[in-house]
Amino acid sequence: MNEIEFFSCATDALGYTISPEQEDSIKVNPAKKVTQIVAGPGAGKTEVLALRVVYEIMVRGVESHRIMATTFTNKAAEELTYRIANRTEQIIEIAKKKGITYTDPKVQLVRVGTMHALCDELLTEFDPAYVEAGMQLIDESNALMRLMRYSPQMKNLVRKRMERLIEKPVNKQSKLIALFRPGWEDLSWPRGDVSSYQRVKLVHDVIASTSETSIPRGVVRSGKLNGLDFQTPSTKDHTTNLEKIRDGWAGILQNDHAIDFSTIQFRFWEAVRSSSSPLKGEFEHVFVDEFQDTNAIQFSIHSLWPLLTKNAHLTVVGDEDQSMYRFRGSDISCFMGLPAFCTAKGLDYELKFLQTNYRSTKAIVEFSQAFRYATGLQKYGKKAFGHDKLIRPSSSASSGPKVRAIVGSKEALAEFVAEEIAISSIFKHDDHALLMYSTMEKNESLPALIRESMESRAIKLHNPTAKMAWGAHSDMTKLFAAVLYFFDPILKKGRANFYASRPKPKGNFGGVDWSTMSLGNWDKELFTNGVCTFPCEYDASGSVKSPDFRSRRPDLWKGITTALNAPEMKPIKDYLDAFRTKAVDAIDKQNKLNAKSGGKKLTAFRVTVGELIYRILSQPPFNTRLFDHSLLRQVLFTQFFEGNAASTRLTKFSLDDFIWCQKVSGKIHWPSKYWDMLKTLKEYMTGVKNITDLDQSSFERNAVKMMTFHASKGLEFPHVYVARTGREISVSSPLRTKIFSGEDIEFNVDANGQPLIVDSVQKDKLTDLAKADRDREVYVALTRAEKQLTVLIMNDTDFVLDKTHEDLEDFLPKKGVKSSTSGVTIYEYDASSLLKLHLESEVVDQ
Amino acid sequence: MSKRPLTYTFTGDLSSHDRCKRAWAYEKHIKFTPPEQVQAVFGNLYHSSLEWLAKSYRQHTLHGTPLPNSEDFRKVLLKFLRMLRAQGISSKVTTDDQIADIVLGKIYPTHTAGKRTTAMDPEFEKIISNAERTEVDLRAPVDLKKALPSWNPTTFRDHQVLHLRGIVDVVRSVNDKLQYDYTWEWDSTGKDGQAVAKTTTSKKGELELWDYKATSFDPTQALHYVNQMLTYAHIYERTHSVRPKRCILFFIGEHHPRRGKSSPRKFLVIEADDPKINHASFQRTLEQVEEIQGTINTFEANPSSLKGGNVKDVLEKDVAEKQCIICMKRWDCKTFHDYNMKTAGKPSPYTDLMHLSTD
Repeated sequence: MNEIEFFSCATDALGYTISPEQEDSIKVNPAKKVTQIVAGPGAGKTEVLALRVVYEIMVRGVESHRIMATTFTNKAAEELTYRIANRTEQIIEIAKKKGITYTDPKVQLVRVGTMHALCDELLTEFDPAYVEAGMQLIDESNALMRLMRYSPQMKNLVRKRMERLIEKPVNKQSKLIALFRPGWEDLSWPRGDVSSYQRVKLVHDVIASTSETSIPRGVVRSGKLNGLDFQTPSTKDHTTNLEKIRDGWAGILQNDHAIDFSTIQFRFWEAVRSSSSPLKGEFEHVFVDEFQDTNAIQFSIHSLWPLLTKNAHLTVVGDEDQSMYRFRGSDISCFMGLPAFCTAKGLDYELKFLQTNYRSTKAIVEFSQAFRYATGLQKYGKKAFGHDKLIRPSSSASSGPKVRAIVGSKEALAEFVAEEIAISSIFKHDDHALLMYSTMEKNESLPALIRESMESRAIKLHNPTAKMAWGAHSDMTKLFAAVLYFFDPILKKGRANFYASRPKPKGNFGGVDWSTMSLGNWDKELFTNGVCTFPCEYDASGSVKSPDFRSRRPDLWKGITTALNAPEMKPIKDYLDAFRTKAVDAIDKQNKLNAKSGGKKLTAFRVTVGELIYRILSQPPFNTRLFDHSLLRQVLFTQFFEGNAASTRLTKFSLDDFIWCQKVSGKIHWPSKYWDMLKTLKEYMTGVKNITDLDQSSFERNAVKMMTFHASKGLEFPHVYVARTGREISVSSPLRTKIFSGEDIEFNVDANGQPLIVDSVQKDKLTDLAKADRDREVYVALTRAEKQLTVLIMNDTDFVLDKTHEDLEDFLPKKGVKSSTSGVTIYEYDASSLLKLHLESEVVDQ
Repeated sequence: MSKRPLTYTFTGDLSSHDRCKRAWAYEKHIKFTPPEQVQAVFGNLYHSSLEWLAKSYRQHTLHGTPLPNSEDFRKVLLKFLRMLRAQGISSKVTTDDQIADIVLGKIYPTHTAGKRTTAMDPEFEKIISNAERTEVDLRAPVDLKKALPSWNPTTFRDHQVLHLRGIVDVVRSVNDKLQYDYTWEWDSTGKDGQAVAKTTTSKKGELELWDYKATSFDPTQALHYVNQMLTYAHIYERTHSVRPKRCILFFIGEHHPRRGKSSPRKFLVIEADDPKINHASFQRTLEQVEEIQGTINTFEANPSSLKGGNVKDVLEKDVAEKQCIICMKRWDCKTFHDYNMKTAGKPSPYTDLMHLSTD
């Protein structure tokens, strides 16, 4: 199949003509080793990428197994896989009809996946040591759970070193901590002990930054120095310690046949860059999607492909204006710095632009471009690529309705939006999307008010990023309360059959004469042997009779009592009381039989905690749920419990073996592993600050979507409302990247625990980067709209999240045509003149 | 109309739905995680270790590396068992050594402790040494509106495109002949059939699609497996422009080379050279996808309204006796309760909330 035949078939398959701009990006110059495609919003990027792959195979005859394409998410990988398979089949079908000859493209051999999945796949195939170690790739929540559960090894290696690094006891003014402290947290962060979620998350993020930013950058840029070592007083400990922590963590994981995201990339990078790389000669074409959100280690890997194999080509696709994951370690300078990198390495480089937006109306395209110019976002791309990119609407795009700004109080805005959606004859409910920086539905927040207004009009609202899964009325909390109640029932006066305390410290027990021992000795012995004495005793008011016992797990019941005391939980509590009695008696009986069996262990009791959870779920109130978030929260609980807290796969030993205990003097002694399990589970569920509900795609159907800017990436909606655009700017993320890249930027820690850059020039520069990050988030949101765009501006709140981006607030109400209705003011804009104004001011600036 | 395709994998999704749609809805659709239990250790082990053997043979052919011996294979088996354990897949009743010996006995039957051998079971050797490709990922985009006459946007929730995916264990290009003693024979309806004793001998140059089953032959599951294999054959032809001659189901549980006598049912031949029959199986798969969509719609309207059992609301004896008694959602399953009342006149002890499993 030749080029003309290919495009003829592809055009028929698509049902529209491929534009010259797209055709140019599909063909590219085969003599160039690196092609960078800068694709604006709505430019048909996935289609171009899919056709580009098929073109290489069907026209240039590249063998399909020599092509690899990496995507940012699993969803995108699935989409690209499908698109490649579908387009190939369509092209073949049309070719057959037209009598065009072709060779079997075998597109199923093209490797498509996320970076982590492909690293795993390729290491499995090409690295015998990786296979020998039997590695399993684990995700972030799995890694966090392991950090919580790995107490012995972590204490001796990672934690001990980490504690030294952050100056034990945790020095709240530590510069390292300040780099990772979320902007909304103060000096009290990280809270809790070494197993607390916050402390573990800090360790995890530091390890990830070391592997993904510091190590690759350190080698190529500044000779293995982390920017922390340039601080006053000067030290080299950070670089050394961070590397040792990373290696320690990797070693611990390897012992359990596991590897996490950052470690696998690091290992893969080492495999690719070695002089005897097994991947030499393997790939002729590597395609990287969403390259603007790549990080240092990924950049280091991808930039090796054209150097590794003669005639190998690298094609990266992205848009610097849509980079929005710096807070997760991505670095836009990888995207911007590619031309310079290629020049330095002598790689033939070619730059392409896809500047036509096929998604949105003329009004939306022009408005979003006006925003780009107003914020100065366009300067970054112009500086990097020497080209003043301007996104144009497609020639067939309609003018569309004017972009609007609605200004009013939170309540008025919520009512206005709900009413507008309710009476709209142009759009269906699921055509609308409400995009905000944060969609957390808390108290009287805008998202909560919008839900209230929508639901009062029987409009379904879907919020996939609602962080509402944990709370007193959530099924997750109730399930945790039920499991906790099984092990640690709050006893009331008069119920003596279950209260447990340690035996009086006298007489023989376990081969020890306790008559001379103290209570402290008893505890020590019990804990050494992995046995705690629980449940505790409580008085009628629910207070603990024996505070020393209670102090062992003071956190377990916190925030749980309300859930357990709900009237609907009474039948479950009665069941658990009865089942506990029966179970403990059976176990005790079996223990006695085992003791008499001369060492021969008889297993008799075969109920696990996991099975107990399903017994609870099969009873009211849990088994009466409709297909709603309550049901999804039950699912989430089983996923956390079985997938993370209890599972064997984390540490080779399961916390969910058959339930076992000892009865001593009529009191139940639960092994400490149950308390560890409950603590880990609760730490995780409460630590992930209002845990996010599971996203069930069927909830989207016929529903208005409410989602964060980040969640909206890659999506499009007929009508978009954009709100909460003016979040505070924090230099933490760009500073962290710079510091872990080995840059010398002196900073202190301010009274709020946030980094304070000493040099004003450096400070301004980083503030600009941080501001641009926020501008990009808003730009992404604005460009999701296909037919209509509405900006919501709240005028009655000082809450930081409710603020409006200063440029939108500045130029929207001042330049629009004003009208009023239902307590809000509406401004409509002539986007063409708005854009013209900004383009002219750009010329004046120059 | 949704622009995104529906995605289904035909091994995991479809077969479990055929047995019990209620269990499928809870575990596969909404993704309740079942309690850790003895899982398919053997199934996973056979697939991983035979894949390793096939790769070793390929390396031997391409680069002249030595062929593995039984001791090498034993080490690999123990390693895979460790890996499976790390994934939560383990047996609580059989040791790793015992499991490794069972598998080793089937593939290297003359192996004894301390005495390594390269003499592989001749039948395994002919499969592995003739493997053209292993673990082949098949992907087929399907326009449901065109392919399924009963397609309607309500059932499919506006999805018009299906992305069907599945993995074929081995694509075998016959070089060394093998003899198969059982063949699938369709009945007059062309929708059902049975395995009959009929000998087939493969010929050089023929293309076969193979699927390993760690279990013994189970007549109640046969039709499902047959449809699955012929769907593979249909998609293979569509994506590779080559029609396989036949599909083979290898029931390793029936293969006992150490005893010197294996069951003739170890190999089940499914002729794949009739495109109409292959297409009919593919259509059947699409109908199954439609049935699954129906289950989803019922479940999401009201989870408790979804009955257990197959799509005809029938709970098969085999499912009730093997699957229901360990199902995580058995305690409040009305279908299972009714089944027990009808067959035993009393509820199953496995659904008694106070029951303590002991053995």
